[in-house]
Amino acid sequence: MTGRDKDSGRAPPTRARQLATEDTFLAAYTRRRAGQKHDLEVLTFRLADEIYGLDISWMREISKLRPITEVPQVPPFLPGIVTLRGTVIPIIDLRRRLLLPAADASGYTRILIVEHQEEPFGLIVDQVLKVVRMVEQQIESAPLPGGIDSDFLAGVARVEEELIVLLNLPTVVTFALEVASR
Amino acid sequence: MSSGTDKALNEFLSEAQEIVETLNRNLLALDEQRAAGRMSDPELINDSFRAVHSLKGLSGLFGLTQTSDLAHTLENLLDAIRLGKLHPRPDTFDLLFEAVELFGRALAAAADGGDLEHAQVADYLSRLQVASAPEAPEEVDDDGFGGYQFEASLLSVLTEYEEHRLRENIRMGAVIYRLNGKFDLMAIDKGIESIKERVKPVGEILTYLPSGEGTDPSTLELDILVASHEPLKKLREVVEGTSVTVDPVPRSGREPDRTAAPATRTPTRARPPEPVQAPASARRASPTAQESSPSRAEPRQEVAEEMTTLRSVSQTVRVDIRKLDALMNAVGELGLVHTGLLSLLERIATSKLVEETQTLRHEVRSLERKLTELQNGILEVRMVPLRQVFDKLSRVVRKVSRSMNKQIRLDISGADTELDKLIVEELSDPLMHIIRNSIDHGIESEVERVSAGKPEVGTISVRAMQQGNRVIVSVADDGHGIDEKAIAETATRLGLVDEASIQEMSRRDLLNLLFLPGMSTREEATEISGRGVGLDVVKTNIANLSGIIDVSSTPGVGTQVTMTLPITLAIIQAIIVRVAGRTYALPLNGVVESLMITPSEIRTIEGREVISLRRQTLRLARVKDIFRLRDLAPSDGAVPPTGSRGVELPGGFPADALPSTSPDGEPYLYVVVVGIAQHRLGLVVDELVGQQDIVIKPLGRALSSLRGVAGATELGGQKTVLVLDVPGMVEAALARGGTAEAA
Repeated sequence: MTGRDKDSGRAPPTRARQLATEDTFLAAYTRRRAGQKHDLEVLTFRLADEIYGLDISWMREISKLRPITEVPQVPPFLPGIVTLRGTVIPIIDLRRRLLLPAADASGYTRILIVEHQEEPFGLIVDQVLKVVRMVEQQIESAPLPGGIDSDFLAGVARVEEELIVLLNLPTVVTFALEVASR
Repeated sequence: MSSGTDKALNEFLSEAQEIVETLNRNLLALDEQRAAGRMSDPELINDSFRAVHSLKGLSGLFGLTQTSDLAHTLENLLDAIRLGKLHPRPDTFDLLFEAVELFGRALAAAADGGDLEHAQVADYLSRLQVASAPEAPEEVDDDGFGGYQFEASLLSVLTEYEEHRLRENIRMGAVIYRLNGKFDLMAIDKGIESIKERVKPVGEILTYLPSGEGTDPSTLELDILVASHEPLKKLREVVEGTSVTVDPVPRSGREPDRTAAPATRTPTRARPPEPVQAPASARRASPTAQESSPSRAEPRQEVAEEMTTLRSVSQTVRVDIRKLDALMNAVGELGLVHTGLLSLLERIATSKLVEETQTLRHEVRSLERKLTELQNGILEVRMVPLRQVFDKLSRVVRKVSRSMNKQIRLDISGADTELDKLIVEELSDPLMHIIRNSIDHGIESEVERVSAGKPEVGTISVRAMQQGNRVIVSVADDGHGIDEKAIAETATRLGLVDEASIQEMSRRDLLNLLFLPGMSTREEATEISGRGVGLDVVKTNIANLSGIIDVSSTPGVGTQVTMTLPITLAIIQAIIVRVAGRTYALPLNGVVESLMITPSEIRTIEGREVISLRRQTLRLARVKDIFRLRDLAPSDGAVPPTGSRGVELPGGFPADALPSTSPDGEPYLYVVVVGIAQHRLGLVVDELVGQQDIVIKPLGRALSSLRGVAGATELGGQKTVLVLDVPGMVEAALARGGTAEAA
């Protein structure tokens, strides 16, 4: 990481260069498997103007956006389902889930396929960034971005001058459906 | 946890499950023999003993101490029974069946990585120990061999069990024969098995003993001791065509058969050639075997056992159903590839590559054929006979009827009818529930039955049969039937239906009120059927299997519950429909017919839309309203799904030629009439697209509570569509109707 990176803030061209591809993600994952020890490895991604992160042990894969089949009578943050290699995966629009302003999909939009209690979920994010390693001490329960339900947050980490909002997957993917009244 | 351990655990569970099922089956057969006053089949007892013995070994291996203890104590009891030291009574069987249940619980616990609690087994074990105490041995004056002259060398190699069976057979007046034959070592398991099969109908094989000089290393000569009530001639007949000879064992005080060659050879334990001995000695070095019969191990019997085991292993493979699901998934995806190829074919059909197009078409066709073959093959593998569930039922009937003090005969037919493994599993609880209800509420007490002029023993008949691609399972009792007035009263009292609708209901409608949620009549609840969980749960279970449940009853004569189930859920036929720009699949097995109507045919009664169909009023429900769908912009998802290939829909419309407006310019609507039991509902959709085989996939836990949706399926081109849950929709519509809410 160079100083120039820090200075350039979140200007898209720089960001594009450090965009994590599926390959870099995989490479990081493999390294972890090989036993290099870090307290925590986090896949970072962009949502609105913030950087968020999820512990990569929850990650299964990253998928390009694909046609989503609408499911009736579900909360607005559930746009529907996709089928990935024969498995039905409910999709969560993470912007809506976190009550961030909605936005149209772009070429960078991805679905993070995650797993919680052996059930897969897909999270729509604006852009996948990279895998960041951090130690526990870097994580604070410090100022939270406005409006986000703190139940969804696992903490905030400062890594190389950047603030990463760490999400708590279990609460993000746990929700009740309104059961249609009889 | 490593996946290796998981795999081992899964294998343990499935093997143990199988053993417990066998044990249960054997015990039931034995109990039946006992009840009928017949001799118990020693083979069944011995098999049960072996089953428990294996369970002990297996559970010990997995550190399930409590389970292993249970098996150990049970083994002692069965050992005492098989050695004739203990004669089982009805309460002995109660204990044995209780053990089967405990094993079931143990396996459930093991699946979660646990074991039985000590408290769960302690009391049982102490009762079991009391029951296993051998009875005082009967006084026997002689050696119990009834004058047969057995060489000391022979007696010394018999196991305690074999010796017991020998004495027992002689006591019962059987004649002892010695069969001798040479068996090719390479195929010795087959050779022995074939002799076993021939001899079994006429007698009991007591032991196999190697004999002869062992001059030919590629063969093994065996003496087989057989006890039979048949004459020598008959035994010679059954082994005709084999190299095996039959001679009676000489007996003092009787005229020996003139034709019999004197049996001079002394059977020896001597050197069975390597290949046979190796597996025998390598067999689970069981300290357990020694515990159970402390005086000696049972190497000889184990040779035979080992042989049969080898044989069965080579013919069946246990497969985790999830592996089959994965294969099915793969087939489903191949189907999508096939669809892709077809559309490619259509696109290049107009090109100049005439020859190549033809070749491709040919290849695609043979792909299709093989795919169908593969699909059918996998479906077939998933099929298991209903016997698995029916066997469990016998146990329940036995237990419940004993505790209710009612005599009940369970009459089962069609146990060989096959269904998808998953359906069979899911059927177990509903069936159990229905049977308990029958015993508890259906069958009258003995006194009542006699005064009603019925036989004191009540009968519950469970029948299964296949009809096309469905299986019908019915449970009928000859009890006092259901009083529909009482049902109507309860339902109105509980506010589930209003008086007015009760008036309109047929007797059958009234009976089916039983399946309404909340219909459990608490005051009737007993420990047995615990009406708290009502029949609505049964209905939900059956509906989840895309099944239909119906009840009929004649007062004083009995009640019959009928379940109609699809043979498999893995692949089903569905109608593809379009509603408000979305595509859905409707399982065909809930569809009665489909109609084309114009909006002017729709009338409104009490705020509900209906049409007249063959003089009957048919309730309509618009899928668009049920799901509260907004209209999509025309560009959204307007791609018609694949799969419409001019298939005839029920109702007789060729699917690809459906007009969208009538001659008067009115837009047509399509009504798919669906039904569960006697309920009919017309689902209004915009378009009928076609009919297609689909693989239903579950939506996963997060979306499992979604109403009206049974799952999802892929139609090709990354297009996932929802599969509608017909029973759920009918129920929802009926429930809405009950509160007279306008749609």
